[in-house]
Amino acid sequence: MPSRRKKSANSDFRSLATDILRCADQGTLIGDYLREVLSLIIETAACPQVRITVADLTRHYRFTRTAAITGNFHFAPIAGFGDAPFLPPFDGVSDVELLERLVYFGRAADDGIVIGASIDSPTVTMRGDDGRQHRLAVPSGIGSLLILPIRYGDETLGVLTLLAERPGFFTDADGDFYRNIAAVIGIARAHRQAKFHLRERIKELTCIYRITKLGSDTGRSLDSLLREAAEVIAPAFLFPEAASCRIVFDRRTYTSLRYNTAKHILTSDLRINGRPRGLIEVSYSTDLPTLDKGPFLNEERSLLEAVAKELSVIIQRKEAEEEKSALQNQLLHADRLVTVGQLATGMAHEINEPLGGILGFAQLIQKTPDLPEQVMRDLDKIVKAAIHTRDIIRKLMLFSRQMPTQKSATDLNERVLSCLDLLEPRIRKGGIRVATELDPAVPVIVADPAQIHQILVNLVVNAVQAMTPGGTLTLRTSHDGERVSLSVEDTGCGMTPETKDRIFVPFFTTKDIGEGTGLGLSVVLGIVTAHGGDIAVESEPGRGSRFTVTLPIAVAPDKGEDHA
Amino acid sequence: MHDAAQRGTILIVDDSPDTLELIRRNLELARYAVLTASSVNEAKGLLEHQKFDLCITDYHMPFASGIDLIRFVRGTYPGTAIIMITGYASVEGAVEAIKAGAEEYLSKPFTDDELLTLVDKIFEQRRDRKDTGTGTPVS
Repeated sequence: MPSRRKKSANSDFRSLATDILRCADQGTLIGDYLREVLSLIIETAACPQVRITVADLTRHYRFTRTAAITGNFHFAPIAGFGDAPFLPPFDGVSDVELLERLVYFGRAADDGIVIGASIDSPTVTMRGDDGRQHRLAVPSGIGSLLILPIRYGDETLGVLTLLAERPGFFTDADGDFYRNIAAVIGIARAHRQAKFHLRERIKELTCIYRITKLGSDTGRSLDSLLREAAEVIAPAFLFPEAASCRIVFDRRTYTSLRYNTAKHILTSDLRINGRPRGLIEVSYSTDLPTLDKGPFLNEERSLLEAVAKELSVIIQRKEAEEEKSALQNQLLHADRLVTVGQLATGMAHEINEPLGGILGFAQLIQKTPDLPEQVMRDLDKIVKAAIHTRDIIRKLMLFSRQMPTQKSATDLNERVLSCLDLLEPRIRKGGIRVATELDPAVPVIVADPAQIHQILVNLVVNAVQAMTPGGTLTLRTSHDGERVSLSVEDTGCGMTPETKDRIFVPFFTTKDIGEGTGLGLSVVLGIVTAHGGDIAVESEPGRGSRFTVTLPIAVAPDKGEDHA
Repeated sequence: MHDAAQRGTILIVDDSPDTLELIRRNLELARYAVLTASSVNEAKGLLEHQKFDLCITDYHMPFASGIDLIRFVRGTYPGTAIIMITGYASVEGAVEAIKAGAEEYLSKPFTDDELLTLVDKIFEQRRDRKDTGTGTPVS
């Protein structure tokens, strides 16, 4: 068999090297490639066993091909192969793996081991850490042995090992031949690694690019952005076909289309303005080789962190934009309120005078003795209409904050109970059950008690009117840090989103003419705003509504009122 | 209406003849003696010649405002009570009036009940003060 190669060593080398290089481009997995390479070598060498030990990512694997059984190929991770061997002391026992490690770490005196000629008890020479040469015995049972470094440039990537029990299986020429083949494998391996790294970097860059692009799409909602991001992230991982991605943000979850129960998980936090708000999670559903972190690469952890950072920045920017536009809307709304307020003030001036005449003189006529009954009834209607008109104007003034607030220590719970007391007949008439969940520890707030009362009366009357026939009215108070909350909830007819959007608009009403002025909630909003608070509305048609008023416990004193 | 049953003398000051008439007729029906003035100057002239238990004045008037009148009355005739009539658009005016020395204020538009209740209240307070002998004596 050695003779076969000797005859045509050059052409054998060319064809084997060409084949090794050609299949370097095939397959994405290193095992598939090395199986091919080992088959080619064992075919040429015709020895009982060929193996290649290489570093892959962070571990060392040994790929072994034996001639004993056709097609026998296996690979296994080799723990500790990458740890530099220490020499001496050395107990004189050696095995092939130790010799491989010594070659791998460049300790072999001849830069490799070639045991060719038929000699008894062959030895190899190794450089020790003490700077001296040490002779090691080749393990018994191995007559012929080639261990050659697989190199690319200065870097040793692994070793190629050919074994035979029979002494004299390899010649020195075989040693040179496979040294060169090992060099070819080194080139092929470097090529594959470069390709692999390039492919992974392209995947990562594509991922980052697509995330950034999603972020620059200003028209996209946060929901849609996170859903898309989950789709974009999974393919950037080493085993995209087994990878899925899940993004959790503010308790909402977005998953890539193919989401499986996870066996291995890599996560990174989403922090907005330093506060953790969610996470990105990439997971594999199947068992995969162990790399840096489970089946994940260090690069992938960095990638996920980079993606999380980028997404956080995008979310932060999006939220800032949303906040800005909400603020603009609020300003616009406030602007409208000011306009309405000015209009109301002007109107009040102009209308109060003639209204005073209508009201006053109608009442004077009522005092005329012996008026016919019909005239009395008519006058009564004029007086009532005038008083109703006056009420509208007063509410408008209140709403447009022309009414100064008289702030004092106000007990929210006490206000709730007094309001329920006042409206008790009305609530009872409506067949409504009242539930109160009052926070006994709710702090006393600085507010205008009369105006807080007005808020409550307006909200409760609305709730009562929304519940025909009957229902449950729930009033709650609570506190949280610097703010107290008051909520009025009904199980009434609820509102459509369109109605809900307009309820604070002055004169907007769903009630019959004469039943409401369309100013009740505008007044509530005016008061709440004047107190530096907020009002939130939740409603579902057919289910009911909940109004939640949040007020600061202590307000900054209004200029001009407290010091006037 | 100057019979013995008269309950007191009131001066009404307002530049609106309708308002003057309205208040006057209501108060006369309630058996008060009433004089009216359509400006602060006119009011000052009447005050010089007659003692009033109560002066009801408008806030907004041309030339001199109700506040000027309140200050004048407070300074010159401490025994005369004052009610300021304000529009709802100027609640601050009501606060100003009270600070200047008015006893009460009444927002326009008002019902006859609101007017009479307030006036009656002022006279009751005056009676109480006279009875107990405390407070500002009527000059």
